[in-house]
Amino acid sequence: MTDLQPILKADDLSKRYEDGILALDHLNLQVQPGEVYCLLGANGAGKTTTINLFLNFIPPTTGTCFINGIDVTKDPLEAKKYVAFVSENVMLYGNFTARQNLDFFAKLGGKTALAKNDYYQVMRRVSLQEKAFDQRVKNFSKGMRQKLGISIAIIKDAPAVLLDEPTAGLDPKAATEFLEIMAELKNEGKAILMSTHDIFRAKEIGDRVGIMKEGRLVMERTRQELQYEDLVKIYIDYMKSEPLSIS
Amino acid sequence: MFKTIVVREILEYLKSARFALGLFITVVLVAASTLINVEDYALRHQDYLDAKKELQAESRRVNILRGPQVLSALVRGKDRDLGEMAPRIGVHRVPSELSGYMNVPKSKYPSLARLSAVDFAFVVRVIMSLMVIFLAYGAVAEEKAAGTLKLVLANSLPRDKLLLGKLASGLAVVLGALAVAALLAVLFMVLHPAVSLLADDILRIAGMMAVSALYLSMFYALGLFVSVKVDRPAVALMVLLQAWIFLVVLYPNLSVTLAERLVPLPSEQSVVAEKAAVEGRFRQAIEDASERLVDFADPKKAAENRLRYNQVSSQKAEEIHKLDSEFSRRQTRQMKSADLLSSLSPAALYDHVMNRLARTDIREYEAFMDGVVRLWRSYVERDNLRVTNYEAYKRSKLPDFSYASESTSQSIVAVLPQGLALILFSLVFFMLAYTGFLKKDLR
Repeated sequence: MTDLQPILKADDLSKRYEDGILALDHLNLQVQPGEVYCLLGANGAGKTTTINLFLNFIPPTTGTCFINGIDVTKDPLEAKKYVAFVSENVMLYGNFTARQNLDFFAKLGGKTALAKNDYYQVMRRVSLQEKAFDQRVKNFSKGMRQKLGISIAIIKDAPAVLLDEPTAGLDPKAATEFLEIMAELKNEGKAILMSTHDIFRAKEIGDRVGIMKEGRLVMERTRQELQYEDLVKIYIDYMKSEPLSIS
Repeated sequence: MFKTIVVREILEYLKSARFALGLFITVVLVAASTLINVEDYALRHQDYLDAKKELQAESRRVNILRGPQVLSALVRGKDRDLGEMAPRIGVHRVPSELSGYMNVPKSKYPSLARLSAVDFAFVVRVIMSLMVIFLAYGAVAEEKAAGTLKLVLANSLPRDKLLLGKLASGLAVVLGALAVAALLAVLFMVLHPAVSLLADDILRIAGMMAVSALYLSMFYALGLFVSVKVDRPAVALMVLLQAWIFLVVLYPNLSVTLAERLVPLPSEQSVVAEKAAVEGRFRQAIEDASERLVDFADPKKAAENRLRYNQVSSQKAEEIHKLDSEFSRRQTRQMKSADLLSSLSPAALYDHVMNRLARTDIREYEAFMDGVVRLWRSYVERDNLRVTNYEAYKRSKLPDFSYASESTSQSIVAVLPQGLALILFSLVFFMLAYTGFLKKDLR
């Protein structure tokens, strides 16, 4: 796996906000095709900042993000062709139906020639109830909206998927269904970078798990390494340890 | 991709309750107010025609009537408040203001009569601009709060294209609503038997709609700017409502108050006292001249006295007119100062342009009064002729009353600076929104 060209790559990435807070401190990470990388960490550890940098939502202070070998800062529009995004709380457009939302985002993702059935197929794949396909999204539960969010990512068919706390607030059944879809995407060869608080699911699905603290990647373990270690204990130990000295 | 954005945004607006409510209020108010104002115009016009007929029968008197402006059905302005008839003209007095001669028309729709202070211009200036604010405040802020902005920008969509799409769709919806309101108002006018719109009036209406579009576009650009800068939709709405209150309500009134301070007018008492002084100066001379206006024993002497009386009376009238003119000049200066000070308010600019295009502003009245003074001078000259050369007097005829009403092209040229100022405001706000959005951090 390590011989492959990484789809997602953060190279010495740092972000200091205007208020002086150092949100990310010299982060280096790579995600290969068919790999799920889980970023664990408390609130403010820098997980969302990492994803925001990959999507060029904010400019890096130093360092570079690459998607499919393309420098995100230099050519963000080209880089974004190769990435799909699922956010923590997918609100979507409440006045539109699930299909209309999917159609809109598919067109933005460059898929302009899809038929109604293509949308239905994707929504079936994520186990969204049939009756919800043509219902307004504003009445959807969080789980349903999250499934629709995944549909948007699937329909874009990008080689990389970024997920920002995708299982937060989901009931166990919905979270399990969600992870099953992630596993399918992984098997299709997608490079998946997921930020999460959920240690158990990170261990379950992650090919690699990184723990972030105060903007730094303080630990990284592969699935094989985690077979012999207790991720929960490692995580709690890091969280309890002394604050890092950040300049 | 641009089309995808525009179509979605337009559909979003059309499906929103705030647009439906705004359009409903606009349509109801435009329909009701235009109905009342057109009816009011028709009654005033009929009164004008009746009065003209009635006064023509009194051939010895010279009366000048001011008819109502047809476009006052859309923009009432000062048309109804400045009087309709110059009081009977005589050598001893230059008419300086019009009196209310005709009956105040009673509304055919008493239950709607309270809306008589509302006109099309008011609906656009107040109601539609508010509707625009309620549409624009969430354009970016709501999408950011809902997280859809991130989802959209996670695609290969340039930010400028997204913002331009939002602007284009917002303007399409707002201008569509304006078109509905305008069509309704014009329909009420053309369907009324008493209203006949000339090509010139249509051109003026087109100008009024264009400036209404500019005014509403400015508010949309302002809304977009605030929506870009403020992340929380509720805060963006509050900021915009405060800006709206300042620009539409407070600032125009503040500039009038400031102008009153900067260019004070003499008090009514002092003007009355000055006029009384002029009267006093001429009293003796007029009394002397009027003593023997009719003298069958010495007709030559009587004619001399008559001429003398005319001269002294018209001199006095001219001097009193000078005082009135000076007062009016200061009033105009005060008004111009208020216009200048209020030019930072789009609402004041809008009002100014609409009144000028509808010919319901004070300038139209002043032009009318200039015509009255010119006619008075002809009247005095002719009256003198009666004494000096009666045959010539009999042959002569008082010219028909006319005044130089502003042509449509003159009006359009006159309102260009205000129109350009509205365009400039829109551009500035959009550029601020544009640069702000390109640099915006999406945390």
